[in-house]
Amino acid sequence: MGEDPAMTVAETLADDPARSAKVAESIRFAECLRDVAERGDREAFMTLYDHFAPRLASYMTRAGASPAQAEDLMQDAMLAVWRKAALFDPAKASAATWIFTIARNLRIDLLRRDRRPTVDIGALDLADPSDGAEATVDAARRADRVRRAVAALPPEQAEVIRLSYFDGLPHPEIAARLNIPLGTVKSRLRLAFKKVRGALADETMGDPA
Amino acid sequence: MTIRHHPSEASLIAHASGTLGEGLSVVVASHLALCQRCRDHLRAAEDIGGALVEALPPSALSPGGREAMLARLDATPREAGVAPPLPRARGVPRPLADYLDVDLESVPWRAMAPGVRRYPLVTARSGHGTLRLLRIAPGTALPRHEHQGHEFTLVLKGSFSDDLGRYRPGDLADLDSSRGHQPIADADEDCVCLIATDAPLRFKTLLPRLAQPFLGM
Repeated sequence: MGEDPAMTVAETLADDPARSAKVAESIRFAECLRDVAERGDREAFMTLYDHFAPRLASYMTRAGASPAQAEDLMQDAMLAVWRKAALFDPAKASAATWIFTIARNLRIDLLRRDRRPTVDIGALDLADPSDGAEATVDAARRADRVRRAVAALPPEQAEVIRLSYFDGLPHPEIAARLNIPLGTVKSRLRLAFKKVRGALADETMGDPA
Repeated sequence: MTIRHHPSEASLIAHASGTLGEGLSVVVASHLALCQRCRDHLRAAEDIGGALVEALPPSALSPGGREAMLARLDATPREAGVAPPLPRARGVPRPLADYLDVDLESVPWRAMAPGVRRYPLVTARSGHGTLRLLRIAPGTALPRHEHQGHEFTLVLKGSFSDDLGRYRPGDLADLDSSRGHQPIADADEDCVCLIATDAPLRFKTLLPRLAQPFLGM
């Protein structure tokens, strides 16, 4: 808060070039979403496509879709990104998180033949009055923290997280797959979540504002 | 509204992963509409999803995929931004309102057992668990039961108590197969709850006729 966004990025850059490249990339993707929303910028959209489409296809495959089905689902998800870009709010999510939620909802509809409530819960929070550029930088830094925390999870926690998010298994099925008690599945998920939340809390505490 | 009982971290992760069935999702989403703390937690859980997708190895796409995508853009109008949804409608949290065709005040309750009325809600895959409203008269005790799967209960009006504490409006009781309970509506007013299960309940009573009305739950 109150920091000059460009300064923040530059400082991060001095810290660790690989990390700052990820932050800069995340900011660029959020700007692409803004350009799609504001003026139907096809080039900006294809920048998102080139990065996310091959990953979303992998995401759909992990849930059991055939390669052809995965590509169809991916295209539907990317088309939803195009249609709904105006709903993206950089104060509430990074581009990757927002695109994940769109792909997840489609995957529930089409692979599990289930539904879920359609209300956008995040939209219930009042938008941060800060300008979009600052929010975009904050979201990119936040995404970077989460990325690093997830990458650092111990193997047994990373495993239950992947089975939940990628394979789409409910907790009892994760327990059966790994042959561990349901309570162990839940405690591993809780520990993983605590690590991520801890990484985000460090960020808030480290913030000069 | 001070909310004291929340879905577990594991349940929020299941919601963010998209692995909860529709009924359980509606209860969690209705709680989220009322609870800023859990909305913050959900955001972190969804950030995990974003980070994981970013880290996935890219799949090779079929040749011509880019051109096909571009062609679909031409045929697809973009939507305008919309005003944020109101957190409540029909007297209930917004995610629940979409499942109700009447106001909460006008629900055509059906008798279920002495002191207990119910109103079933329709989900896409009925048979995979249940979603219903219960209206419990003051002081009424439900039969003690255990859960084969999950049971999420969100208090909408009034309050109830069980072995784990007192639940008031906005509170969510997150129970699984490790915990049984016997909810008792508090004495002052009717307790109206939204309840979802993903598997039939198991009753502990030695008097099957007491449990009979609840066997469909």
